[in-house]
Amino acid sequence: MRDSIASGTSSDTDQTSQPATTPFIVTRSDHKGVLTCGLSQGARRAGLQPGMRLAEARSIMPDLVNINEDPGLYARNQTRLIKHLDRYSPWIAPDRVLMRDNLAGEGGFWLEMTGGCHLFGGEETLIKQAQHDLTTLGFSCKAGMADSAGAAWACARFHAGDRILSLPAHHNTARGFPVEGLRLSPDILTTLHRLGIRQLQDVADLPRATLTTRLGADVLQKLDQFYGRLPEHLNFHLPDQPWLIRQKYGEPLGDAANLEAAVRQMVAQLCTQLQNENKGLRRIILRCVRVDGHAHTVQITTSTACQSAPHIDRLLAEKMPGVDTGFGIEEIILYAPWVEHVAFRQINLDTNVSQNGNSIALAQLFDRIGHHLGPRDQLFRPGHHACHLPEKATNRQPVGTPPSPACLPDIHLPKRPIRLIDPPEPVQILHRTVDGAPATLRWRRMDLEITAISGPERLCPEWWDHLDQGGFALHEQTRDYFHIHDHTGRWLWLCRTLRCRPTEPASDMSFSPSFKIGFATPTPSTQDALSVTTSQSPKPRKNTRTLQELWSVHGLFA
Amino acid sequence: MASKLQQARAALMQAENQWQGRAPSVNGGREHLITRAFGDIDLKPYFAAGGLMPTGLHEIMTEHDDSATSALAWYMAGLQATASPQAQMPTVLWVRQRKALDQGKLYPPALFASPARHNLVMMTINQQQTALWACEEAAKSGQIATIILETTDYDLTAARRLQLACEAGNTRLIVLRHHRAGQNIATSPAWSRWQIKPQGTYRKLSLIGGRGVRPASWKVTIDEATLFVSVADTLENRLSPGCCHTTSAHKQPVHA
Repeated sequence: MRDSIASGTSSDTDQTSQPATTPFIVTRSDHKGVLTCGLSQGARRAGLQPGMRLAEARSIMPDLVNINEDPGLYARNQTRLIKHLDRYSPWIAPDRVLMRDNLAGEGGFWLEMTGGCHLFGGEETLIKQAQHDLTTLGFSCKAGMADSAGAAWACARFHAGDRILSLPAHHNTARGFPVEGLRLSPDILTTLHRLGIRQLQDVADLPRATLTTRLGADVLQKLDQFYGRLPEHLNFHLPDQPWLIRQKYGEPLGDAANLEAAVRQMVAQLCTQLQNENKGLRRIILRCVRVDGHAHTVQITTSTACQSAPHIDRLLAEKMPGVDTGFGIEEIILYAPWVEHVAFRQINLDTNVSQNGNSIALAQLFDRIGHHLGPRDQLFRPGHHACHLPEKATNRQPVGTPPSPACLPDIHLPKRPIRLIDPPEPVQILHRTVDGAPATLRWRRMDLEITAISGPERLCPEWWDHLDQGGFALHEQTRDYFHIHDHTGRWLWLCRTLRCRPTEPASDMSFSPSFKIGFATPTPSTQDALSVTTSQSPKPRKNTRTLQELWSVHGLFA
Repeated sequence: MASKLQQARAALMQAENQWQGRAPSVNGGREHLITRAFGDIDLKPYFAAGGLMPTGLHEIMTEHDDSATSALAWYMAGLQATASPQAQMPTVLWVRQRKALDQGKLYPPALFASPARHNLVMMTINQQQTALWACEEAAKSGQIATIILETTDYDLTAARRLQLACEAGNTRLIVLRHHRAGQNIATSPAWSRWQIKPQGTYRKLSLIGGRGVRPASWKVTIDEATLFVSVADTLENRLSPGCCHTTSAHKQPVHA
């Protein structure tokens, strides 16, 4: 659910240092004369109207004080209010239409409060707090909250109760709002009033086709936006992006060499700015806009924060041949959307660098290599993930992260193979010893005689993933690992899993050996190499289910 | 002006690295030859240069046992002429071309337990062309101490390019080169060529070729935890050419 809070502010008491008791107006000059575009409370009470000519106003109130409008003051107050309202939500959209067209000195803001009301003690408390804050700042304020931006706008102005509108529940309240709550233009409002349509329910009950024919598409659009049936695009205020350089060329750049020189100059400028602010960029976007409007975008991401212009030039130069200048590039935009703080780097002969070169040069090397890799190629720093399952015990970390000392928390675990075969390759057990351990197996069409075997090491599936399973010992994902030494001299990591079979197994005992649970589990033990690391064996049960053993090679030891 | 300053800084830093022994100096690092390795084997008699070259191209032929080959490569990546206390966490780049070696992929948790503290970075690459390019670029940059490359067979031109790149950047490059039994071994400008094969409960480490190399073989064991390759039984290896054959090594170099 989306909650919007709209606050309408009237900034009349803040525009000047005049005492609030003296009636005054703010005026604007247009081609017809001087126009009222803001009124104080006293002027309102005297009967003055927004949009009134100054001569008319003086005829009503001869000693009226008028002040010329200062557009810069509006902008400064808006910025100040946005900074203040930032404490409630980072998504603040000023009501630009109201700022432009309103002649009563009003302004408004939308705050996207989805999922954030509980932080301020609920919706009612939030509204009260926002009103109190703005009143303290010297603005008169009305606030409302609703599910859509349009409804919140209307709610802030026309809701008689607690100014919170939840649409399916408060449908009747919404129907009683005046049509001014739809944010329509004055012409349409005049037509609606002339037709006797004064409330929202009058519009909502009319046939939609007739409305569009008579009044245009705007009414239905605003009505649908009010009820949340159409999206509302708000101009959210974003913080300034200082890491953007825009360069326009009166004479379009038609030559690739000219383009490259221009880009190099802009990169150098950006990097100087970054160095002055002790920042480094992680991503840079270059947009070359052609005269025909086509924009070619080149994006580059670095592994660490970078402020070196030659390095960025080199990375960009590899992608610049893809830019088609066509009839000329008339605008270049260089933008660094991802900028990080760089710790102070002292370029000296410090001995705290790695064996060859330093970390900056290493990161630049990985950047150069990484930009050449294809979609299936990977460049990563192997990390350790706390998981006993072998294929999940390692993860891939970005190369930009600082090298952590290779630590293995589970260092006391049994040895791990140096090469992992993932996914495991199934093997066939050709012969077994009398106690059930494999004696000969076939892997990759090679018959391997097992000369030594040790194990098992039992790895159970993670219990938090299999909460419903009672017996882990017989779980399908429980694995037993054995070290086996074959006659060629290799040490293999053999994995055994059990698979439940609902019916009696086939009688092919030599290639797919199966056993009943009633028997003891085939504990592999051979001449002298048995060392059971985990002595947790399945308990014997009276069960007629049959389990099939699946053996596979999962790795090779050094 | 800025570029000249950077060049001067780089030259100064390289000179300082060489002075402190952190990076081998020019001329392929002949002053820092590795004379003892694999436990306590004296390598001087087997190399005309007087020891194993710390930089440049080295090849390990892999045929049957990729795990032992990987362990040997990891051990050779950590070989140093003299243990210098400042040389901490050298960067090792392990480049793996997919499907070059068919016995699985390197499993880093096995390396974490080894005492060799390396800053390991891995690459997995689909095409050999990209893998060779990445190795050449990394070797030329001089920022990486050792590169280990798993790749399918490559020609003399590629090997020569890699060797030149290693010489330019003073980098050690160890290539795991697949070799089928019975096939002729292709020529290569590598400084040394090794092979490791299972032999009973031990493994047979062979120095099979290289520039100015006298072939030899030893019976070694690999410690599974630390991945150290060391001579299994010094008594069995006592008949291998020792100090008495030092002069003959210069007379009979083998070019493979």
